[in-house]
Amino acid sequence: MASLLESLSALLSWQTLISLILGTVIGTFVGAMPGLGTVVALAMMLPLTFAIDSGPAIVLLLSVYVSSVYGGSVSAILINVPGTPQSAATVLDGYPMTKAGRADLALGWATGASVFGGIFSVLILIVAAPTLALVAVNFGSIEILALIIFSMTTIAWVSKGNTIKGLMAACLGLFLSTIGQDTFTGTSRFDYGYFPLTAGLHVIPILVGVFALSEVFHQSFSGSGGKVQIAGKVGFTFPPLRDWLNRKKQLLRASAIGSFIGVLPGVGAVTAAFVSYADGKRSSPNSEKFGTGEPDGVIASEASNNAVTGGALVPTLALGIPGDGGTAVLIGALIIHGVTPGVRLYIDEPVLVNMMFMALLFANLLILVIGAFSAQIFTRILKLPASILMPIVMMLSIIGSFTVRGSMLDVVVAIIAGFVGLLLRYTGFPLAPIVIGYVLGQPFEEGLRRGLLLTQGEPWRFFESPIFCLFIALTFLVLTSNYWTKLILKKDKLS
Amino acid sequence: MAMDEDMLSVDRTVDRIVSVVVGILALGVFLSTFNSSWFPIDDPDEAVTVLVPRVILICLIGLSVILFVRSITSDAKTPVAEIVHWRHRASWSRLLKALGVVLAVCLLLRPLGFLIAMPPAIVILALVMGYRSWRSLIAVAVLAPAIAWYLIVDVAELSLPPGPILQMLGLY
Repeated sequence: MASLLESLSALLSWQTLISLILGTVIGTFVGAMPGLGTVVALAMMLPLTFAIDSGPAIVLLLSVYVSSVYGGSVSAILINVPGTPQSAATVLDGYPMTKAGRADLALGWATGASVFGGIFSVLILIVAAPTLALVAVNFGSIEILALIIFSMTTIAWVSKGNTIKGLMAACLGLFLSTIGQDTFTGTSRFDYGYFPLTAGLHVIPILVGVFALSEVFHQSFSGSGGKVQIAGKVGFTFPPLRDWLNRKKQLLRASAIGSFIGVLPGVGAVTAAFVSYADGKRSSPNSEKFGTGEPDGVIASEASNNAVTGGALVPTLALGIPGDGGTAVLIGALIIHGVTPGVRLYIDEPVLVNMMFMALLFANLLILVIGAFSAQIFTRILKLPASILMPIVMMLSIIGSFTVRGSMLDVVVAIIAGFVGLLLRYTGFPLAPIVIGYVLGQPFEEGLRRGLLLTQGEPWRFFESPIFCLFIALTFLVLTSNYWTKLILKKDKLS
Repeated sequence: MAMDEDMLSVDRTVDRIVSVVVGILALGVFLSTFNSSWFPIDDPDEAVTVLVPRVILICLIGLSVILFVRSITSDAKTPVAEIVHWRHRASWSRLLKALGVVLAVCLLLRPLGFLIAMPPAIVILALVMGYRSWRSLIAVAVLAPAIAWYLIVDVAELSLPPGPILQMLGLY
C-alpha cells in the first residue's frame, strides 16, 4: 500500500506529469504520420530522455509507446493510409465511414475502442507480469539461455512468413552486440585496431538508423511524398453509452485477443488486429456490413491492436524478453536509465513498477482527451507531405545518434545502419529481429558462458535442466511447424 | 501470372545475392577470429571471448547456405521483396542524392556546427524529395534546427557540435 502511494506521488510530480502528457501527445501525432510509427517515435524520443530522471523518462517512453499505436488509426480513418502497420485493419471500415461523411463517428469509435483495449491490457499486465516473474525467478543462466533461443526463434518464425531471413536478422543483431569489450574478460572484440570501436556499438544509433534513417532513404527512393487530400472538416463524436453497451461483446473479445497475442513473442499488433477483425466478422451480428463502414470492424481492429501494448509488456517486464521492436526499444531505454527488466524488477523496484502501471492507465485515459480535442489538428498535420517531414526525421536521427555519447562514430553507425536497413527491407528481411537480437545479445552471451562454466564446458549437460529441455523442444516444434502443418493437412485430405 | 513470375524471379535472384554476400561476410569475420593479432587466442582464458561470436557467425553462415540452397531448389513462392510493388516510380538518383545529403551533414557537422550545417541539408533533402513551397521550406529549415538546438543544448543540457562561428563569438 505504501509503495502504491509512493508510486502515485511520484507519478503526480510535475516532471512526470509533463512527461506523461508530452509523451501521449507526441506519440499520438507521430503514430498518425504514415511511415513513422511506434519504433521510430520511441527511437526519436529516447535520446531526449537522457537529460531527465529515470522515472519521468520511462513514463515518457511508455506513453509514446501506447499512444503511437492509437495515432495510427487516425490516418487510417481519415486518409486511408494506416499511420502504423498495426492500424492496417482499421482502414477496412474506418475509411468507408469517412467516405460516407461519418469520420467524426469513426474517430469516436476508434478512440473509445483503443482506450478500452489499452486499459484492459494494462489490467492483464498488472495481474500476469508479477505472476510470470514469480515463475521465472527460479530460472538460472541455462534456462534463460533456452528462453532467449525460444523467443528469438518465435520472433523470426512469425517475421513476414520468412523464418530463415528472420533468424539471419536476429543473428546479425546478436553479432552486433558482441562488438566492443567482452564483459567477462575485458578483451576488445572486432575493433580491428580502430580504437573508438572498443567501446562497442550503442543501441540508439542502430535503432535510429535501422528504423528512422532507413525510412528517410526509403521515402527518397520510392518517391511516395505526395499531397494528402482530406475531404471536408473533420470533427469528433463520441458514440453514446447505449451504443457501446450494445457492442460490449465485440469490445471484450477484441481486447482479450489483443492481450493474449501481445504476450506471445513476435506475433504483434498487426496479426492481433487482423485476427480480431476476422473474429469480429464471424461473431458480430452486423458481420455482413464489415468492410462497408461498420463500427464493429473499427472496434475489432482498434481494441485489439491497443490491447497488444499491455500484453507485450508482460514478457518484457517480467522476463526482460522483448516481443517486438517497440518493446525492444523500451528494454534498451530501461537499461540506459539503470533499470534492468526481468524477474528482479518487481523485487528491487516496486515503486517504479507500480508507477509504470499507473502511467500506462493514465496514458490510455489521456488518449481519450487528445482524440476528442485534436481532430482539427490531425487534419492539418496529415496534410504535411513526406518531403517536408523526412528532412526533420533526418535531423532528429542525427541529433539522436550524436547526443548518445557525443561521438561522430555513432552518427556514422546510424547512417550505415540506415542504408543496411534499407537494403534488408528491400530484400525481404524483417527489421525488428535485428534490434531484438541486439538487446538480447548480452543476456544470451551471459547465459551461454555461465552455463558452460556451471557444466565445466559440457554443453550437453544443459539438457539436465527440464526447463531447458522444454524450451528447446518448443523451439524445435516452432521451427518444424510448417512440416507438421503440411503433414496434418495431408492426413486430413487422405481421410 | 507474368507479373507473379517476374516477382518470383526477383525474389529468387535477390535471395541468391543476399545469401552469398552475407555468407562471405560472415565467413570473413569468422576467419578473422582465428587471427592472433586481433584476438589473443593463444591465452586459454582469453580464447573464450570469441566463443559466442563464433557460434553466432556459424549460425549466420549456415542460414546463408540454407537460403542459397532454397533459392535454387524451392518452387514455393517466398514473400515478395517490397521493392517490386512501387519500382515504377523508384529513383536511384533521388536515393543517392538523399544519401549524399546525409553523408555531407555527417562530414560537415563538426567543422561547421549544427546550426550552420543543418538548415541547408533540410532544404536540399526536401527539394530532392520534391517539396517546392519555398517560403514554408525556409521557415522549417531555420526554425526546426533552432528549436532542436534550444531543447537539446539549452534545456536538456546535452551537447551538439557548436562549430567555429558560435565558438568564436564565445556563445558556446
